[in-house]
Amino acid sequence: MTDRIHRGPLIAAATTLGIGLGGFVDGILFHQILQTHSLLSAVYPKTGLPPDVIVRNMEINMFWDGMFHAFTWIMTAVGLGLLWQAGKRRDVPWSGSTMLGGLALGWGLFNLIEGIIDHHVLHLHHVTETPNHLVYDLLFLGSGVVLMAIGGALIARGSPDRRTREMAPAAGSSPAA
Amino acid sequence: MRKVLGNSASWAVVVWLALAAPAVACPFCNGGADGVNEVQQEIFTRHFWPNVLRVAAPFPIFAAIAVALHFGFGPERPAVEARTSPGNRTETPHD
Repeated sequence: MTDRIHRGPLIAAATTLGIGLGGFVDGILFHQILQTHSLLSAVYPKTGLPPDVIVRNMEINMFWDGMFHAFTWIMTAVGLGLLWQAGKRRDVPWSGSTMLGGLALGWGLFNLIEGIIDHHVLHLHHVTETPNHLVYDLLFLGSGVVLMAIGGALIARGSPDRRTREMAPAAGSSPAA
Repeated sequence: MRKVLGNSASWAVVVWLALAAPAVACPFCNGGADGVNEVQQEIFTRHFWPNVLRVAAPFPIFAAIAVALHFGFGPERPAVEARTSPGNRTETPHD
């Protein structure tokens, strides 16, 4: 058995999964439930135009939302694959705190990087397509920073954990056994 | 008998769904009076691939971060030593 441990594979897997799930939160919450924006809603506006143009723009946005969700799905699938690989390794500590931290870190990274690129650099959309969108865009970036800080703290908290998956008690077994 | 009826009903639903006409979500743009699909015309322009790149722009950065995290955390202190330290399990089911 190897006598060195590697936390990187679990952190990378959880972070990748967190990026994908964070993307789905964005898509489900903002694109679909609240409908405050779509992926190209700053390019193809959904308000203030004749009804036929609005409907056409909504369909165009639906297509690009689908493309975005496809990329997000790929991130999630890659994260699951990495997690599967990490779980098979005997030198990777199987820490719940590290896992949760990675998920939060990934979600925060998604909000921060997607926010900077799509909202501020490329201007594809804003959190709300309203004149005061900057406030909401900055809040979105702020939420990313907060989530990353929480994720980093949880990963640090999981640092002392050295139990690998093999060492974890089997399901249904008594902890005292 | 009930199982057979249940199966028949399930198959009937599947066949009905397969034969149902697709819904037209956008009556203005899916081949209207002039038969031109405005949505497809607007999506598949010379801006299509640039738009794909824009939509995908954050994802290479995410991938690079994942790679950095995977390999950036180098090997840490020996697990054998760690297992003997207080607060950690001292035995494994396989020992």
